[in-house]
Amino acid sequence: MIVLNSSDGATFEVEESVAVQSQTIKHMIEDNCADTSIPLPNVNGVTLARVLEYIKKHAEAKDDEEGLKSFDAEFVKVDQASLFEIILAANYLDIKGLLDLTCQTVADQIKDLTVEEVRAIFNIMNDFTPEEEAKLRNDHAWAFE
Amino acid sequence: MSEKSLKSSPPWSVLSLVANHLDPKTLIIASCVCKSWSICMSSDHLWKPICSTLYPSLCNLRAANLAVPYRRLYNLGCVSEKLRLQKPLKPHLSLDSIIFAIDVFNGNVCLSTTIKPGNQLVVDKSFLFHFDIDADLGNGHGDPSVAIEALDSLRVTWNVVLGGLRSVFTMMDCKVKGSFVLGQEGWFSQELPQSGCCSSGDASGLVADLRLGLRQSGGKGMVERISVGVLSILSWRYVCIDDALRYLQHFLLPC
Repeated sequence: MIVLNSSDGATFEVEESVAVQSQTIKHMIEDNCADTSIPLPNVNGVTLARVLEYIKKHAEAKDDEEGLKSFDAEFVKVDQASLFEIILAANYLDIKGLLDLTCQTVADQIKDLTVEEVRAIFNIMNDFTPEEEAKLRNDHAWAFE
Repeated sequence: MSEKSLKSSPPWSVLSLVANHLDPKTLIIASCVCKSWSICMSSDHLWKPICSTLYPSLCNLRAANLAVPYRRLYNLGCVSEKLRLQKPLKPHLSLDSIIFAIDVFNGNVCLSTTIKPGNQLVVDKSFLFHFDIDADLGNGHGDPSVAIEALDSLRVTWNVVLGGLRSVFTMMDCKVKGSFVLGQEGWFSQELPQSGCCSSGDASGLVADLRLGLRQSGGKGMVERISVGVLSILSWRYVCIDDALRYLQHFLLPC
């Protein structure tokens, strides 16, 4: 069993065979940095718990494609802020499947939207001048058809 | 699904990671959201694989100019593809705005003048620039007939006039080619000049074509039918009306 410490001091136990889905943790174990526990200062407790939920499920039900698909679909039904945290954690921990899943979810949210709609979802201020924006749109007219 | 309520922009690192999963169209839309997104979404590392997959030869242009971003090369590829598919623009002229004026001369004597407004021309079902016109007789030039022996010295002019007499283009001014067939039909043909602004080489590749059909009586012939058209030298077929109008507009309309 491996012990993981989140940034806010929470502790989690997980089997080594499951934990090595994270390339980062895998390398730390190989390099003998995992004597007592592995500190993960970039991931908070709540997020780490979710990540562990993902990798545990993907270890147990490895061959159940259908089951994993529906698990993944449910897994990403979280608020935006949490989704971003999971993306950052998946990137830091180098868990490819989780990173692809979460990034694709955000990507799917913004494709086929207009510029204004994207701004609305993320509450972004448009800091272009009208001329700058018009030039961008004109230069790439094919994207707006 | 996560509620689309107002939240804040993803952190830069999340944006970069998500950008790897976006298609070119979404990348462009995302670039227009705000300046920081624009920088993130135009990165070479994003556009290089996209550009090399779709337009590998354009990527080689970077050998000449390393500063060109991959996004710009991709954009060039897209725009050029669209241009290749573009159909020619509709002509600014229409048959309604032009008038044909066809004169038949015997030496310096004008035998007949036929004026035909474009909207009275009979258009064939293939929309070719080829029209059969009945000659105007009795338009005050005196005797419109000509002796059979003199047929081969007939001269024809075909002018196209822009309605309101705003401009004129002379399609042809020439004598008959060969001789009148059986004294009944004469063929007139003259190469058209190149239009200047968008033609290549020395020639327009077009020919003005006119046939006079005569009616004979008592050793004399009278012009009865006129057939006019514009032929392409390449295909030796009549061009379509739109192509002919696009040619004529160079001469009849101010550039």
